[in-house]
Amino acid sequence: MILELKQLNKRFDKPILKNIDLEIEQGQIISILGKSGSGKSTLLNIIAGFEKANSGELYINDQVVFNKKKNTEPQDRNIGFVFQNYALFPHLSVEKNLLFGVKNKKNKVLVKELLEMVDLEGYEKKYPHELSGGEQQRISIARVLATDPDIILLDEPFSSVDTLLKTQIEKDLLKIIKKSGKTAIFVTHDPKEAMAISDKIAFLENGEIAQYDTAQNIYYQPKTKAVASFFGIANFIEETCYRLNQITLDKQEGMYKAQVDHAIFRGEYYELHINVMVDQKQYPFVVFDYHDFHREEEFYISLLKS
Amino acid sequence: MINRWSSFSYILTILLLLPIILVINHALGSETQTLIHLKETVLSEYISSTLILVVAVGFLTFILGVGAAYLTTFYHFRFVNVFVFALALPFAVPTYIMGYIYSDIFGYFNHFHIFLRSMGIKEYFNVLNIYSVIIIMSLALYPYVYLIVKASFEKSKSALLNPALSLGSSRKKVFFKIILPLSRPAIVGSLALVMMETISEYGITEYYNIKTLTPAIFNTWFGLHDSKSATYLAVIAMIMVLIVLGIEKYNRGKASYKIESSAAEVKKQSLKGYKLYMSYFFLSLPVLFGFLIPLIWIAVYSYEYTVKLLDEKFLAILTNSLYSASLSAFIIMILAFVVAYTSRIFPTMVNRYLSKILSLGFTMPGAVIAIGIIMLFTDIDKWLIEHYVTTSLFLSGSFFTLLFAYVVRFFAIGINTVDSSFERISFNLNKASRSLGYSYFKTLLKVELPLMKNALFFGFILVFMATLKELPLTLVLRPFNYETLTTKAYTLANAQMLHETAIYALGIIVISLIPLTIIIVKRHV
Repeated sequence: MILELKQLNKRFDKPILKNIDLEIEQGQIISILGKSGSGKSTLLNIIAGFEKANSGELYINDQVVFNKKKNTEPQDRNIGFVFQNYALFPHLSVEKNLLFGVKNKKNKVLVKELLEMVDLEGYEKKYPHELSGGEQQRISIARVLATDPDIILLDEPFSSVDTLLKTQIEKDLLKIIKKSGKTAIFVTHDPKEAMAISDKIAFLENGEIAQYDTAQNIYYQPKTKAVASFFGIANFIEETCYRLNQITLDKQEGMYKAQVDHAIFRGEYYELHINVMVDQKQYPFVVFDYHDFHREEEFYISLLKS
Repeated sequence: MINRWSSFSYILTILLLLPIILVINHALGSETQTLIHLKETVLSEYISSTLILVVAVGFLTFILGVGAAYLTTFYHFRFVNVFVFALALPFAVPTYIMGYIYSDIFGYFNHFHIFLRSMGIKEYFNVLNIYSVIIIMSLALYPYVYLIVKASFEKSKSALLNPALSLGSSRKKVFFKIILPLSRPAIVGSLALVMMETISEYGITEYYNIKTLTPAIFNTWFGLHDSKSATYLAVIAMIMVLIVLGIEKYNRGKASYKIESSAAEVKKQSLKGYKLYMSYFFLSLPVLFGFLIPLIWIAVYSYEYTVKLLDEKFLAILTNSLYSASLSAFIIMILAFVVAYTSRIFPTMVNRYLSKILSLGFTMPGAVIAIGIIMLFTDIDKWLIEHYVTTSLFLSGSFFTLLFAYVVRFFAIGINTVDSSFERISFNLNKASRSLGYSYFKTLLKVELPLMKNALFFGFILVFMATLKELPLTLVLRPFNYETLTTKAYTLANAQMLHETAIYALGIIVISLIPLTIIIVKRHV
């Protein structure tokens, strides 16, 4: 196990993290997801050693870095941290930024390798302010890789990036991390981003891990309603969640009868707010369709279960 | 658990606060005969003169400082840039030097009265009174208000003038309804500085024989040898300062005065006709009387004593001034850097307040700090002698005492520049460095220090200038026979050798002007 958290607790004025247990295997890409204030950045800072938990245990590479008696400083944890605003040292050139954490400050070969890896050959002498946001991002990940860390921690790495560039940068970053074979933990508040990049997602809710699972499982089998609704439109019949792509509409036949409450025009499609009748009980659903439905129009729906 | 960084800050805080605590502690308790006598006779005069001085100087500096800032920020006219620079120059002339110069110019046998007599006017105008002191102190201190308020006007002008004008308001209305209220913290803050300096002022009040609290503290201590009464007066001065600080704090209230900076170009209005001439007149007055006339006086009499410039004695005094000012500025910047860095990396409630507590020395009159330090070091010396560590006074009267006093008094300038510079550097850089294998200390050296070198230099200059011009602390706490430019000017002036003070004043002004020019040119202010 590359990282193991046992019963971690952290409180400021009120509890921020409660009994966090988490196990991460070598080479996995994990996302920590949650609403703002759910404690996700605090968790990442505790793993990095920037903040100290109140209790619990933390192991990196099977070595204890935090428990009741011990708290290893960040510089001795062999982790790499990629910041939201990249945190490149503005007074140092790209080359010096890359070699900042490396013992041999003249290792030109390493600089060349790293710049090749992030597709920025020839950038050695440039300064951070001369780079675009995406380039700064890639240099910051290369700087982390230079120190050969056990784990790379990334704190909302795409939040400062333009929406248009985001997909490309996301792809680039993922490619670099996969190529390096490193374990990476992303903190994000964007569920689409998390599902796109992660092997597993840990969803934090009120300081607790509500669910730790693969993207598919979290999406189709959410453990709580909060998890379900965070990852997209979720319709419930009792405790069972149905996603948009598990519902089909038909005017002639189907499993359950449904009636339109109201419809919202969204350009490419209509967002229909409907009531579904199941065993004499009404369940409010939201579904999408390309056709307009008038108010109180009746039709049928069928549900698929993955 | 308190870490090493925080422990250092706590020890420093206690050390720097000790003199003030000792003064308060000593003032409490039974009254001495002198104190009873003072209360019955001159105490009310000390307090009322100080109050009159504070209010009047506050009012005049407000008119001069805000007026000058307003005209040079919002209007365009010929030589406006010359005025922007020239209006800051009186900062280089210490108040007491200005006081000596005008007492000479208006002396019975000197320039002004010779001129009057040549015109057939026989009357004698004695300037050694509180009105002259008010005018001179205002001329010397208004640059505080001018520089701080101008910076605030500039910021709110570019951020808010265009949006407000687009809403249909007139320029006059925008200024009075938006820009002036938004600059209230800057105005009140700078006036508070002026008032605190006024309470502290020693050289001119003593020379002009104005019975304010600061000279009274020294006279009671050194003249009447009554430490209890002196500390009692010191506590009154401290209370006055705290009232000024309280007003300043109350004034800020809860309203937000934060303005997002903007690079928007704002067209300045042109001044024409009588308004232009009135503005020239208004702006020329402080430059003329606050800088040019003193400079001419100094230049004329320095020329008379040019031969002294190369005198070994003069060079030794100059070296002393440069040495003590630069050494104390260096020490203050290092200490301030460490304390500010500690509250940055360990932002506990206590650490966050440390810079405020440590700034207390700046608000206290030099006289209060001086007697506090004398008491502290006398106590330490007594202890050392009693415990056979030393046989004579070890700390009292040493150069270390003087340096310590400068640190207590001017630490605020250092920590404020360091703090505001740290605010501009993302803490993520520190975290990034540590995650890349560097300790706090190495991060400090490799990341924060190189990024802050300009700000540290700026802070160094400010402390250096303040120390160079400082009079009461230097006068009282300097080692035996140790002269600086300020103490020498003071001694000569008190011996009625006013013309001979010129070269020492020249030394102070020239040395102050170099960094002041750098600061103004770099638009750091």
